[in-house]
Amino acid sequence: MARTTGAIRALKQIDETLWELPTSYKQGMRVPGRVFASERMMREAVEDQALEQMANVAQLPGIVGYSLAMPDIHWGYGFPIGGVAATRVPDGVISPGGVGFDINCGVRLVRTDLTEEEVRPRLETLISKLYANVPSGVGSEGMIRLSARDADEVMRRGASWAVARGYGVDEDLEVTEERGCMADADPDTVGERPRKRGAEQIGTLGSGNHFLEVQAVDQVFESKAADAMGITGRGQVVVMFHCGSRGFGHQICEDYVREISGMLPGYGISLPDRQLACAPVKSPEGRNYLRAMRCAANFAWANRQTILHATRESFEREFGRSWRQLGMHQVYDVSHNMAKIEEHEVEGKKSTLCVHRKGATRSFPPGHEDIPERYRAIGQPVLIPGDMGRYSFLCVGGPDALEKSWGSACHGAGRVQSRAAARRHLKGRDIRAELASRGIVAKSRGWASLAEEATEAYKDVEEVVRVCERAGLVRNVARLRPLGVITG
Amino acid sequence: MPYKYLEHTADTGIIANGRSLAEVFESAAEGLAALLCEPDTVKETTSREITVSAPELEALMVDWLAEINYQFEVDRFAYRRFKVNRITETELRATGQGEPIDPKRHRFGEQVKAVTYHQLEVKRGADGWSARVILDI
Repeated sequence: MARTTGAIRALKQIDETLWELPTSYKQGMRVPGRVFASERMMREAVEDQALEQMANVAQLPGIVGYSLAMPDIHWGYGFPIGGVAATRVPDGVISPGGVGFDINCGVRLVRTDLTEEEVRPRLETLISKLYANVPSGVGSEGMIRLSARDADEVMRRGASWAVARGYGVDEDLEVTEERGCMADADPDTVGERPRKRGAEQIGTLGSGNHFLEVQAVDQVFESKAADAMGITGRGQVVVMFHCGSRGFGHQICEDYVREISGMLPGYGISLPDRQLACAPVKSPEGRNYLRAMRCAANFAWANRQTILHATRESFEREFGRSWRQLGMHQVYDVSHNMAKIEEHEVEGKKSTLCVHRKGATRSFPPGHEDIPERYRAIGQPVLIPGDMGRYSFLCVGGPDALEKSWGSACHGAGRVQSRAAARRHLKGRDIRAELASRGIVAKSRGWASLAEEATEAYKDVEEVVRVCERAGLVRNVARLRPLGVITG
Repeated sequence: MPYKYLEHTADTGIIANGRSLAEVFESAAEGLAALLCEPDTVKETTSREITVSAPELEALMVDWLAEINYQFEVDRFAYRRFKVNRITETELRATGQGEPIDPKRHRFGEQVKAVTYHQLEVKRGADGWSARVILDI
């Protein structure tokens, strides 16, 4: 990659893991940009387009502190992926593009009492059952068709709607961010089109980088935190899955970007990228977007709750024991595409901010009141998936996260290759067989979706996590290794 | 090719060309349809009328492609070919040819979450019109 152009040369290194893009870089920047990255990543993996997008985000009215980027930063649309920006309430803005189309895309982790030795002989049939029970890929439909009334309930109640239907238990909600439901979600702010797109998609993974993995604990780095999360040690089997609000959320974002784009001149806002379209948090459009966004967030939690149920059922059938007997308790569920109204300290004063996390995970340190009681002493669990050939990480919120990143950390490895480049690169290779030779069973709709998500297309998530840990944004608790993979 | 795909790290984009404004809209739509579903597997058995309006030309391109994607996902209809019958800066009327989706026969490509405004361009050059649109995958 050519490293000779604009933004990268304007960066100043602050410390080992932090780089700053001064406001002088681009006209209109209200605050500097800051990227968390190692020197090697900065040399090899951080794209100019992504830094350019970070500089654009720095122009949002009411932005406070810095336009931030996590070490998995890459080129997105509007915001960079891995971008975090907080705006002042009430005079700052909310940007639907700063949440993204896949509202409340997130990750859920479930533990089991099973060991790798017990699961390995049955891995093929287990993955086949999961593949059948959790529909994935383009055009997939779930087993549930939402009536208009159901849909309103999903939007208002989120994961607890699914629990009320028998898909899970209250205990699951306790270990879900926001207990799986954001308050002040208003179905009246959601039009017909999102409802139609979402009607058959509850309980489906979707496609792209969405996945479900059966994993084994590979190494535990911090046993006290691991204990609190039910992680017992090397060889323990866990399940991780990644998906969001499906077409429902995509359409809500689309509808509000269109509406808000038209209002920009009225609010006197001019932006370097139309995808950053935004409105004051307290304006009618801003409020309505937030209410609709929360409906999509709740839809995503209902979706992941339903997938948890389907996962437990698949295990029950494969192993002939109930999920409780199998010890299949949820560890946690995090969102990584969201805007939230949060209290943070700004220049020594408590302030209300609208924190956009676009491909970034909330990462609150120990003691924070928004963390479920059972985890308060260790910090909020932060789930960081890597690529399907290597490993994923279980972390907890780090001591410096609130001060440095509004309580945020990375959300994954971050792509280094486009989908097309990955396909070109891997042409002629039998990726399924290659994974199988390393003991990983993979199932997908076709060759392309495996190729696009292959190890080669991603940064090494271990390095991404290491940067977050050095910067004090997370503490690393355990490394998880894939045994079986379903990609969308 | 009236269209080609643009490399984007996380997503993908379409670069479309046409001698006229109508043609560049047709090319972009065919590019999107081919991304959603392998065109050789789609028969032209059904024709549908599509009408889209927007405040200006670039937004019209976004809304036009978003409509095709919406029909793919919600109506389960795969397009193969388009004819723009009438187009202004703010309104488009077209006829699309394709058929209802048959998962047994059609080869699906990418799921498109949305059509974005990022680096969006619809412009007139020396040899006609060109457009650039980035899609969220």
